[in-house]
Amino acid sequence: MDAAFYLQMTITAVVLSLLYILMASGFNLVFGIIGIVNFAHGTFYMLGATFVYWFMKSYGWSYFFAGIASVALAYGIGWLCERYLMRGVRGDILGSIIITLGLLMIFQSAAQIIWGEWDKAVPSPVTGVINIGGAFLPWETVLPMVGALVVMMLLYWFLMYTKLGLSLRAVTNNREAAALMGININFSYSLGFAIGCTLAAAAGVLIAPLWSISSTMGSTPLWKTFIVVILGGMGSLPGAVVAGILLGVVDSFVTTLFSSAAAHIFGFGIIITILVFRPRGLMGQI
Amino acid sequence: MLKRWTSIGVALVVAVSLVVVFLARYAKPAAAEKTGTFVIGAITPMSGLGASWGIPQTKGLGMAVDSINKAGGVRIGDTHYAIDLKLMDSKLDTAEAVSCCHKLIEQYKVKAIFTSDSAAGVAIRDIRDAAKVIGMDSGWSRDISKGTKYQFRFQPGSYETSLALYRYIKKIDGPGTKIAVLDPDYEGGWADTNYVKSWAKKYNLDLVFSEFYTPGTKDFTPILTKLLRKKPSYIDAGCSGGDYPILIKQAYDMGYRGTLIYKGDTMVRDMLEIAGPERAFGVHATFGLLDFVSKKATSEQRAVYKKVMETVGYVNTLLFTSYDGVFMLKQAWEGSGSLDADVVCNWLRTHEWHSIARGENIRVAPEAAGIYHGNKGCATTAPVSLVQMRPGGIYESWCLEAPEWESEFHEPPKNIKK
Repeated sequence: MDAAFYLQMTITAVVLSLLYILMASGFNLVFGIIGIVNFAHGTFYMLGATFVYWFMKSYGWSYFFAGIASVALAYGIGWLCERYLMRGVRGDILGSIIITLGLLMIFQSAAQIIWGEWDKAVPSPVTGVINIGGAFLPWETVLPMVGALVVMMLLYWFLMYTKLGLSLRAVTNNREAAALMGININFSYSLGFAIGCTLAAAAGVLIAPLWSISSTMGSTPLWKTFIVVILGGMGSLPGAVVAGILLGVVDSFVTTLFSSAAAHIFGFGIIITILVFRPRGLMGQI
Repeated sequence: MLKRWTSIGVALVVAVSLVVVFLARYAKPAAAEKTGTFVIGAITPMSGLGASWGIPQTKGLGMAVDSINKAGGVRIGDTHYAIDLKLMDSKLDTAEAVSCCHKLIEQYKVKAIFTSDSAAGVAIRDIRDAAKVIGMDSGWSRDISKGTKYQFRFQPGSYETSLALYRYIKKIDGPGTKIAVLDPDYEGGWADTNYVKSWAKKYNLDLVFSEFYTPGTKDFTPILTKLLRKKPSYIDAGCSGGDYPILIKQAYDMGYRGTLIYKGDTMVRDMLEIAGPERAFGVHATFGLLDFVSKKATSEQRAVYKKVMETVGYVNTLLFTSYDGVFMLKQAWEGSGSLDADVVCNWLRTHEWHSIARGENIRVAPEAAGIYHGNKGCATTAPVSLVQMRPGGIYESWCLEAPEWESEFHEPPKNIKK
């Protein structure tokens, strides 16, 4: 097996890893701040992709403009969901699970009714293929890679260097202390939830030109997100990065070298092994 | 005088009254037209994976039922029955299909159930047979009708199409031609891979790669990385439903310029929409719409085609065959004069029926309970044919050599590669 073969697998691993990291970061943000498991997270991924298709198809917007509008719309929906739906079940784990599951069903069914059952496609803003020593890297694959890195850098900058980001981190660390320091907890919750949904939608926007779009496209990314989050540690953003890379590599290399069934066995095998010795995940704190 | 006229008047009134009473009591009333309704069902994926099969099927069934009902329904004896169509979304899930089947049989007392995929067809096969409900299936696997009494495959599947296709590949490319097969990991995919393996062996083709993938896969690059190293001349992704356009797209982007095969035309719309005309160029399917679009199309077929385009807006083999299948059952119900499954199935096996899809009268062949004409290959669709996408989204069809079929339409190209 030559270098081109391994390079092709590495390219695939990078794309998958970045997608998983982006999804898991949003999920962890929500869990870290609000303490809920958002079962509708994959649905926001679907909505991001569907919105960009809708804006491009119905209004003729460019991909970039449609993408920005899509994440903005997802942000707004996320905010409204937290403000009017989640706030009433704050602290109630079962209630929050039921509501997020309900949101999953509602959004998925609504997407099916509004945009139809057929798979849809978003034309890529970039075309062409780069041949790197026999390995093929389409430009439309470079787009989600670069896009995901930009989004992650923006997230990092926001959380580390802005006042709002600092307040979110404070709430994550100690809710009561943050409230005593004058941080508006309700606002932080809504912001955190909305940003989490936005990150999922951004992943959907970035992947839309690469794959097809359907109302059920969020289910696989959701359970992959669960794997990454549990493996990396619930609420841990650095853990999401490490686990996302691990899962991306396993998915790419094991599927290519063996089979997709083997990738499932291998992937879950690693997760179980790690969790046996480290129940809180690779970098989890709870 | 007055007394006499009074007497006559009274006598007349009495006589008329007696006549009226007599007529009311003994005269037969004019026969009132009897009406009734019975139900047929469909268990087909109308959402998610498989929607590209299920939705055309529902369109075809709906059009046929509407057409029959508007024309007076199904006439059995002196009763005109309207058909009530119940559609159930199987979501391409076996458990869901079984649940839908029980509902259709127990709640709606259906007379027939249509399916579009092997997973559902195989899963409900024995349930339908036990309940004496006629099954009309278009899935890939021959197991759908194997050993059953009331189940029929009403369009060719992988067994027939792979046979014809691989025989054709050997003819034009010679023995030893490299083939790769990639199928989804469910009933239809398993059946397709088995048939491909047997026909490749029979025709001395070199099967260099064979693997199953998880249905719903969006990223084929890991599998394609491995597959493309084998340098196949043909990639047969025979049963891949909604995944196929993505597969075409990614194979093209990874540099593959050989021939991709998809055995069925349900994906034409998706190929163009998702893969794009450039990537779809050169993709081949092995049965198409020859009957309806070729020079030999009958006026009846052209009328159906026109109606479909006006009503639905796109063409699709499963739509036509489902449409045809309902009319087949109508002829069987009326011809046998019964709704009883035993009587109807016996009629189907002993009588010819008129197929709109074939434009001629055909009869169910006894073997495999398939709806085949004894010596003309597969029924209810075009003979096994080749469809090639051209730039601009146009596709042309050629008739392949089916086992007992002579090429009647366009002369196929000597080399089916681009």
